[in-house]
Amino acid sequence: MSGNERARFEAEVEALMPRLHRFCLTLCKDREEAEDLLQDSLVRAYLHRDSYQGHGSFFGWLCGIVRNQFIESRRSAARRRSLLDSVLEGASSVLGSLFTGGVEQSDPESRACQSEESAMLLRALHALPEKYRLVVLLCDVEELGYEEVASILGMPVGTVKSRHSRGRAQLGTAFQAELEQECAVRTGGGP
Amino acid sequence: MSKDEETQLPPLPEEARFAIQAFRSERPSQQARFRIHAALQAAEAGQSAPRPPPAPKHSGWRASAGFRVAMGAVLTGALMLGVTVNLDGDDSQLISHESLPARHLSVQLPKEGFGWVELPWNIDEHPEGKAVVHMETPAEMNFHEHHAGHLPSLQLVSCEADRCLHQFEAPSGPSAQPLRVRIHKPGRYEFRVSHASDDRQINERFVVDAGH
Repeated sequence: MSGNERARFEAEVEALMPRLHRFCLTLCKDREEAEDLLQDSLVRAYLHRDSYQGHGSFFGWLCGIVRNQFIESRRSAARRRSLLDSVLEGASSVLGSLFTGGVEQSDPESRACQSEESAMLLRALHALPEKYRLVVLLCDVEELGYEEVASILGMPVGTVKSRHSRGRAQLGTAFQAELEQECAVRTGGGP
Repeated sequence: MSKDEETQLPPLPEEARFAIQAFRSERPSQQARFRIHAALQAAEAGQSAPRPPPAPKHSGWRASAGFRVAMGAVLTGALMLGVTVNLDGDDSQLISHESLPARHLSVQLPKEGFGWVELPWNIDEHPEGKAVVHMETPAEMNFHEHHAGHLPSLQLVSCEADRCLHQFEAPSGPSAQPLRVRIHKPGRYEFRVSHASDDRQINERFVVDAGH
């Protein structure tokens, strides 16, 4: 019985997995964090699956869980920094780059994405304030309607529209800056 | 979004539109999908998820130009961490650093009293001997009070807000045992563990859902 429920839940989630992954990538700084967030969120969603009453889309309900999980993780991470991280990071600063592999790491977005175009878009999205970033993601990348985005983010449709417009303008500017930086790197100039 | 609405929006550069198309092909890795599947199975069964494959070891550091310069600092840092570094001219003896993906467990507590959960840590991946462990727990657990019996070297390092950091030694290699944690009341508990032997440091995170 329970196995059937889990299998049904996984089947329902399967089709939404790419969208949810991109949602997590847009919130997080790197792929590892995004995949941890997705895992934590889906486990939480599964454990509380009875609380989905069918009001609004299942994807929207899952996005709400991802956002809450993200906020909790950030708060928890902020509280943790001075304990285990300070021990490990303190050691790491003394050890130089040894503990992080000793080689210069590429930016997190490049490591998170499968193509340079994707990485540039993700960098541009990360340059936006979160209130614009998620609206732009859901409207422009996921091509959801304003009503659904408003339902997912829990805000009035008018607010979604205005944030989309401002966010789109900021995304254009941020992406243009990424292009210019990329161009400068290719031609040997510095940013 | 209607065409009218689209025309009222600021236009995006053509390259950005291509990038959006490319971004739409981003998907979670197969490894992540496997982990999610395992975590859901574990949540369903109330057991620990199967161990994910360990993260690949870093190997590129040997080529680092700053590597030799960092060697002196390594000694100092290793002393701080309580681990040692062999400098007999064999680079392969230096510490490797690995962070494993988070794992979820659940435990059913008795109506009265407390329950135990075993964290399936990877301390057996160190060579036979002892590993130095740093472990961060929720402060409310009073971990240092309840676990000194089976972790004789357990020391409370510090507490801040609602988290406490502990240090102890534990057997590593084939004689390693799962890490037993005592839980008194239902809730969601997060544990971060870092264990180090002479040539390896492994960081792990466990999330435990405890209920009646």
